[in-house]
Order: sequence, then C-alpha cells, then structure tokens
Amino acid sequence: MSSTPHIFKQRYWRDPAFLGCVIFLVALVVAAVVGPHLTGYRYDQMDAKQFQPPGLAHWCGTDFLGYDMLTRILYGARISLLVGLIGALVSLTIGVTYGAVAGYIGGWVDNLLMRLVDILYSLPRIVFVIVMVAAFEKPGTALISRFNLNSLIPDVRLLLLFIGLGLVEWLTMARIVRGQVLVLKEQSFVQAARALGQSHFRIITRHLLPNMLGIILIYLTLTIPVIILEESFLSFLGLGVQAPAPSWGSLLSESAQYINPIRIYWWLLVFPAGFMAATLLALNFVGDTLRDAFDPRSQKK
Amino acid sequence: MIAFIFRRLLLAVPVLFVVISLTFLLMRLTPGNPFSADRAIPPRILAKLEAKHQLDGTLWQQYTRYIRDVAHGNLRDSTKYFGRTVNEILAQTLPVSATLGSLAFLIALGAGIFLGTYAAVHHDQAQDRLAMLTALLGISLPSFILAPLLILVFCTYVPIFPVAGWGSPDQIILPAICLSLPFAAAIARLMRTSMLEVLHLEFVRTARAKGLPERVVIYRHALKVAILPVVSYCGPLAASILTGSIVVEQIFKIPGLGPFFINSVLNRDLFMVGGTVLVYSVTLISFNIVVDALYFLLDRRIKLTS
Amino acid sequence: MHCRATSFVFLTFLVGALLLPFTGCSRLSAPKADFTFINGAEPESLDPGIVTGQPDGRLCLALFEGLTSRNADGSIQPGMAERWEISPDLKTYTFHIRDTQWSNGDPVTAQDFVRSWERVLNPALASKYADQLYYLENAEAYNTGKLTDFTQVGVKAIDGHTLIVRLKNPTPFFLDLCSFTTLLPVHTASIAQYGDDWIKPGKLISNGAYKLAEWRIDDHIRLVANPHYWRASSVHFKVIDALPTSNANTSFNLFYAGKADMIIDKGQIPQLILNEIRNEPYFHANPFLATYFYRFNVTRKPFNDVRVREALALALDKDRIVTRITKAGEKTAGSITPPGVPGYNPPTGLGHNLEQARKLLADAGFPDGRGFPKFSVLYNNSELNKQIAIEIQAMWHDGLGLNVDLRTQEWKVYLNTLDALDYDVARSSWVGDYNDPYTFLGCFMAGRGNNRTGYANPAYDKLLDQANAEPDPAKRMTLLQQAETILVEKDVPFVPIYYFVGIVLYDESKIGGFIPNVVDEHPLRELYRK
Repeated sequence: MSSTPHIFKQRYWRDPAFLGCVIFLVALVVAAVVGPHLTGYRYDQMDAKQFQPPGLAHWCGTDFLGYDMLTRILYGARISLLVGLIGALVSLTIGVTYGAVAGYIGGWVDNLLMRLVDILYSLPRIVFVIVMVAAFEKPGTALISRFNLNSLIPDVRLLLLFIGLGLVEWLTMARIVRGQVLVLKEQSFVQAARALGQSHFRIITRHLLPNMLGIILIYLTLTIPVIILEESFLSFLGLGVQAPAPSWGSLLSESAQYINPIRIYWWLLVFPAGFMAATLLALNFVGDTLRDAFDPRSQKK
Repeated sequence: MIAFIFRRLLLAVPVLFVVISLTFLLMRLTPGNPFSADRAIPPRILAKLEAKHQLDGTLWQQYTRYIRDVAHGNLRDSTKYFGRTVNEILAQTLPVSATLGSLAFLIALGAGIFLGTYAAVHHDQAQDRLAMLTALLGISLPSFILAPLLILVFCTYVPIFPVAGWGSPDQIILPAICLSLPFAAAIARLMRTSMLEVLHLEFVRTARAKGLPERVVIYRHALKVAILPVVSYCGPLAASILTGSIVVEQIFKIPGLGPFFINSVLNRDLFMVGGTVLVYSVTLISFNIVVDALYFLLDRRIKLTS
Repeated sequence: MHCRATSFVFLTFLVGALLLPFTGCSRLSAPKADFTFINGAEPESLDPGIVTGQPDGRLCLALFEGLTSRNADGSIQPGMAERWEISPDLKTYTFHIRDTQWSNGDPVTAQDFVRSWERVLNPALASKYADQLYYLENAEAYNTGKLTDFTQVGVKAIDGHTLIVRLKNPTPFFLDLCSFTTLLPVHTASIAQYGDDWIKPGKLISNGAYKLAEWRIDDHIRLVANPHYWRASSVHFKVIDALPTSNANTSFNLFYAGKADMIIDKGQIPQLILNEIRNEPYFHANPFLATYFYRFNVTRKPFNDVRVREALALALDKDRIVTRITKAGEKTAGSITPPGVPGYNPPTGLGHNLEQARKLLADAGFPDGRGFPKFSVLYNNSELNKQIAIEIQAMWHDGLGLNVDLRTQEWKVYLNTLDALDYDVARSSWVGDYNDPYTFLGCFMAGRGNNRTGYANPAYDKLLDQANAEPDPAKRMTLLQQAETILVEKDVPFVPIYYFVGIVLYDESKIGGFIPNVVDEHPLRELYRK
C-alpha cells in the first residue's frame, strides 16, 4: 500500500478525463461558495419578468417568480452537495463498520445486527424526519438564538433533515459490506492471515476492506444521488429546505411540474438537470479511477 | 438449509413485533391528529372518533389493544377512508403494485446484470464507457422527471402508449420502465465493479487456463461470484420495488399501494401506516432470507451461520 | 449438479417475484362510460353524514337528493320535497315529500328524513358537519348529549309525506342548506343491515339521479342512472366514471388525450400552465364562495397592536399576487365574504397604501421597521402557498423594512400549530358551506373553533347574534355588513387576499348543461353531450 501515492501520481494525473472531472468538481464547489455573490443577483431576488429565456442578463433564464436560475443553481449546489457529502460520510463510517463487524464476527452477533437493520429499514423514514423536525426544531432554534446566532435559524431545519436522512442511509451499505465480508473471510489469503495470528482489527482493515474498496466506492457514488433526490422529496413535503432557499432537488422537482403538452420552459429543466448529471458523472468517474488506483491487485500489473 | 430458513422465519416474528410496535409508538408521538381538518372539530366529536378507533385511554392501553388486534390479523380501519379496513385497502392495492413491481424488477435485474457484465468484459473500451454513461443517465434522471418526459414523448408527441391508467397490458410498459431504470442503472454499476474484481480471481484464471471459451468463463463461473453484491442489493430493492412507488403510481395513475406509504403518514392514518410497514417488512424479511440462501448456493465457501 | 441447483434457486427467486401478481388485474371488460370526469382526491367516504371534502360531496349529490336540490345554475329548486310552506315567523317549515322511491324500490318517506337527521345528530356517528343541523330547535343539545330524547328536536314526520321542521331562528338560507350533503337522506334500513360497509357498491341504496356501480380505490368510481329517480327520464348520461387523481399534470394529460371529458377540480389543473390555457376554448373559470387570506395571531406581540396589523395589510399589493401567481382571473379581496351573495354588499376593506402603512407602523413604535422583531409566515406546504408567501415576504421586507421568515409545515402539523396559536402570521382559506355571509363571519366569533386568531370582540359577536334573530332579510344583511366592516376595516385579525375562482376544463362544443355559479356546484344529472 505504501507505494500507492507514487503509482497514483504517475498513472492517473495524466489521464485528461480524470483531471477534467477533478477540476470540474473543484470548480463547482468554488462556484457554489462564491458564485451566488458574483452573478449579480440574490437567490431570492425577483425580476419583474417571469420565465425569461436564457440571455445576457440571465444566463440560465428566470423562473416562475422571476428568480435568476444560475444563482439558484449555484446556491442550490451548496445544500445538495452538503446533503450528499454528509449522507455519504454516514453511509461510509457507520455502514461499513457495522457491516464489516457483523460479517466478520458472524454467528448470533451477525444475526442480531442484521435483524436490527431489517427493523430500521422497515420503519418509514419520513416518520423519523417528521418526528425529528417536530421535536427538535423549537429547542434547536431556542438554543441558537441564545447564542445570538439568529442568522443560522433557518439552518436548524436543515441540520435536522441531515440527521434524519443520515440515520437511514447507511443500512444498504451495511448489508452489502456484510455480504462481501462473508465471502472474503473464507478466502485463502484471509485464512492465511488468521493462521498467522494477525489481530482481527488488522485482518479487517488490511485484508478485507482493501478488497471491498471497489464495491464500497461504487455504492457510495450510488448513494449520493439518492440522498440528493430524497432531500428534494422531503422539501417537496415541506420538511426540508425552507423557501425561498433552493436546492438542486427542489429545483428539479419544480421543473418536473413544467413538463406538459402545452408549453415547456426548457431552461428550467435542462440547466438544473445538466448540472446534476455532470456532477454525478464526474463523481462516478473519479470514483472509478480511485477504485482502480487503490485496487491492491491492479498494482501487481 | 431447510433448518436455516426455518430458523430465520422464526426470527421474523420478533422483528415484525418490534417493527409494528415502534411504528405505532412513533406515529402516536408525531404531532398532528388523524381526524383534524381545515374545519375545526369540536372536542366532543374528536373524542368520539378517537374512541371509535380505539385511540382513547392511555398510550399503553391503545398499544396493547392494537397489538392484540394485529396478532389476530385485524389491521383495523383506516382513519382517513371511512368504513375501509386496512386489510381491504391492502388487498385492493398490493396486487397492482406487485404486478408492476415484479415486471420492473425483472427488467432492472436483466438489464442491469447484462449491461454491467458487458461493460466489465470490455473494460476501459468504448463499449464500457458508453454502457456506464447510459447507466449514469439512469441514476441522475429521477423518475419524477423521467416519467413525465416519457409520457410527453410516447403518449403525446408519438401516441403509442396510453397516458395513464391501469388494466390493459399496454398501460404497464412505460411505468415499468420508469420504475426499473434507476435500479437497472445501479445494478449495472455494481455488477461492473464486482465483475472486474472477480475477473482477477484465481478460479477465473484457472478456468481460462483450462481453455474454456470466454463466454463460459464469464457467464458460468465468474458471474456466479460477481453477482453477490447485486444479490445483497436486491433484498431491499425487491421490497421497495414490489410494494410500489408513490411517484410512478401517481404520475401514471396506477391504483397501487405506493402512495399510501407517504400519504398515510401525512394523514396520520396510523393503522394504514401500520399496514404498509407490515407489508414492507414482511417482503423485506422474506427477500433477505432468499438473498442469504442464494449466497450459500452461489458461493459454497460461505458457511451458513446461525 | 451444483450449477443446476444454483440456477434453480435463482429462477425461484425470479418467479417468487412474480408470485403475487395476476390476481391484481382489474377491469378489462367494462364498457366505456358515457361521460368521464376528473374528480380530485380519492373520496374518503360516500356517506352524506360523514363527508367533508368537495370531491366526496360531488358524488354524494349525484347519489342522493335532499328536500331541495340545485339547478345547473346553482339556484334552489324542489327536490324530494315537491313543495313547502313557511310560517309567518319564518321558523316553521312544512315540507311535502313527493311520491318517489329509493333505488331498491322502497318509497321515500318523511320518516327517512327524520331518521337520517337523527343519525347525523346522534353523537355516536361523530359527524364532523353535524353543526349544519344546529339551526333546528334543540339539535345542538341533542348532538352534544345534553338532550337524549330526539322527539324534542325540531323535526317531525306527520305522515309519510309531510315533514315539519322547527328552527331556532329565522334562517333565510335554510332551503339552501336542505340541499347540502349533511342534510341528504340515507337509507337507514340498509345501514342497519351492513354497518359501515353500506357505502360499498352493491350495498349502497340511493334516492338521487345515480346508483353506485363500481368503486376501486384510486382507480375509478362508476355511477349508473337510477331508474327509480323521480325525473329519471331527464338524466342524460346513463353511465359516468369519476376518476380520482392526485397529480395535476396526470389529470391534464388525461383530459388533453381525450381520456376524460372534464376536469372539475381546480387542484387538478396545473397551476403553471394557467397562463397558457386560460384563452383556450376549453377553459372555464367562475368566481365562487371562497377566500384566500392571511391570519394574524392577535394574542402575540406586536400583532396585538391593531396599527401593526393594519400596516401589514395596507402594505400588500394584492394585484401583484393575482396577476403574477394565481393567474386564473382571481379578484383581489377586501372582505372575507366574496361578492355574489344575493342581497349582500361586502365592505371594501383596506386597500394598498404603502404611505399610510409606514405611518401606522411608525405610530406603533417601529419607524421604517426599526425594532420590529423578526417574525415568520406559516403556510401548509404547496407550490402555490409557497409562491404567494415569497411574494408577501418580499412586499413586507421591501415596503416596510420587516424581516420575515417563511415556515412550511405539512398539513396536519400546520393544523396543530394554528389551533395552538403558535404562529405569527399564517396562510388560510375558507370555502363557504352555503350561500350566506354567516358561513364566513361566524368563524370569527370569540372562542369558535375556526377562529384560530385569538380574536374576540363583544361588539362583533353582538351584531352577529342580532342578525341571527332578525326576521327581516334586508335588515339582517345590513347587520352582517356592519359586523364584517368591523372585522376587515377596524380590527383586522386577518387580511383577505383574493377570492378563489373555480376552474373547469371541458369542451363546450361537446358537453352541455354546465353553468358557472357562485356556489361552484354542477349537478352531474344536468350534463349532456351535444
């Protein structure tokens, strides 16, 4: 593993596609942070004219209320990327650990841990979010205003949403990792490590995890769009981002309502969907490349 | 094997018990009354309605009465749809969702496995990139956008399919495609990665060395092991796809169970919530048992523990 | 061997997925209906004593007929009662029931009405709309359990064809009320036989223009003409399908593709394309008795100060909301009672006057909005409510310098918050139950469940009580108008924003018998194909 960084540098940074994707993602994050200040509009600034097609004044056009779409897309990127990131982190830390432990120990522990996953999986997650928002929104707001951080009050709801989503996003990851561990732990190299008397921790981290990295990374890149869209659904129900703040999910679900046989304002659909697709494409490509880079076997080539 | 399945089925009982208990308690803790409406209801009438649905008394009394009814197979009456039992609603809507869902499940599985294997075999070639780009489109186009777009194209511009509804075979095609696409895409990506790893393993190399044709190596030998992560993913997938999707069913106006999962929570129709959760949980547990059994059969190296 | 076992189990897995289906395939054979319409949400019930929603009510009115019924233009005409006499003190009504039958051939009698009204008032039914019968003598006491002897309630059958109703007060809209869903007769014998199941197809017995033939959840409800209906020969469509939908775009697609002849529910027309379709020949809009308004929580600082409420009301440019957002030809509202109630002139209310709003705000101690606490606007989540809230937020911010947060809640939590008075400003709407200002004004009497603002003014309550006791309709309307003026011009516990319009989509060249009216009721029996 120690030689990985070196190999990584040589082989992958020269790949223009990989480089392009990394640059795109970095640019997107920068644009999400500073972009909304540079477009010349606030995300909640109405233009008198609704539904302006893209032009010099509004690069991505304006929407129903006359909001500048570009500003809203960039601002929405903040929330959506954050939701995706947090969800992915939770999925990675809790899901992988939980799954690995269950699969590795096996027996009744595995059985118990997996039944717990079944239970959590069966409970309607929307109930979690409703209960969470209802129970903690007021105390959370009170706490924040006590510290004179009034500008953060709208974020309380968002934080609760993150927690609510995170609580359930790790379950499938845990199942997948546990399944992989079941397969891998019976393989000869793991048996050998055991026979050599290596510690369980070392076996999991040195032998099992590197061999599952591909699947973990792929599933992680699959989780991110799911969480981003889940947020849009909760926002649609009034449980997520507070208007007029946008998120990619809410922009997309708004634009879905414009698809009708009479008239389509294409820019309301194409731009948010385009940004989302490009981001997911870049994320997946980076994920694939990282998988190749960290694959213990591909080094042997 | 039989003993394993039997033990797991036995274990399902406490799991279901915990699930239904937690659902009931969470729903009772959620703010909002099942009977409240735009027009205020006098407290007397509210009390009557609560008594009628056995929601009077302490939380413990309500809970024990409910669990007893559920144990007897009585899922109670919907609090929203007057005079409808939860059993009746499930009996009308679940078969519809299951029909649509099983078709979508087959499409997702078939297309996903084929696309993923195809991409892995042509690793880093144009075919691989193209297949993965297709898959990616499937993931990043949410069904609430895909469905209206498909309707617009195939029902309005080129009227091949009916716009919505349920009952005739041509009405199932578009919704099944919409429902399966994101899952097909996810399976394809999982399949590709897993296949790439498996193709490095010794037994595949041995098979190749024996001079077996590549097709046999991949589809007879490699696929059996490579499919394992997909099988893991399929347990929860089957449960959610067979019990219906609110988005697809509402947009195509399909009288299935999907919308009830969300709407019953929003309406605080708590016995209906209990019913949907129970259906989902039973499906999930069954498929997870199937998944674990498949693991055993697909890969003899795993010992069935517990 | 091993390989075969594997593929066997794998196949079982796939086939297992196919186990449940094919039991679920529904109607393939049913003949096409004469008329198909989009009715809105799936009905919660078809029991007239229970229903509260508009889609449910529409079907109930097709299945059942009250003492009176509505014409296509919304006016009241004889229904089950072929004629009636009203006593000089306007408190006693004598209805003469016509010689007609239920859909199973049983005669419709005066006793049917007594039993049906007793059922609604019986506390055991827990009817949410039982108060629609409180105009009857002793009805409230019976419904609240203070009186257990129903014979003391003001309804009595003299013989099979004569029904006598005694009212508490002269109630000029009582004949109107007799056509309302809660007062419709039901076949009590079949209810006794089937219990809650009596509303299902094959069991439901009706006395209106239609019978219930099929009902599949979220799929369709099929009505067929009732041959026993007293004017069955004038009913044009023999088979009608009502489609429940929950997605406006789907509804519109069905209509656009010719799969539905009519969309009758405003919520099922995509808000976003109103601008494009409002000039189409199939677009029909008519104002009706419903108002969109913003409540103030008058128990909370600084909204307990009437100057603040007035300032906030005056700062609203309602024109901007109806032209930019609602777009279906809605009129801006100054009063809570929409125009169109015969004999009633609603007050003009407060207009748009930013100068005066700023002055009032300064008088209240907040010059240019300085020192005004940050507050929130509560709304139940919907695209329309959100857009209106955003516009209003901007108006208060730009016009008065106030900082406003938006607070969405899902429906049931929102209702809780309203009832608990745990808000600053909240979005609301009210749909009139009958054609009279009291259906709106009664809400804001002190302590009423629908008040939801904390507002209480004895002078206002007194005017309404006087109006209720007033036998002369013209004087009564004047009293009501005085009361409403206090409400919308002096006390301002809420600010009316616009009056709703009902929107119906149908092809005028094909469907006839539809007349726009202020009560937004359109009997299915009057519709015909041209």
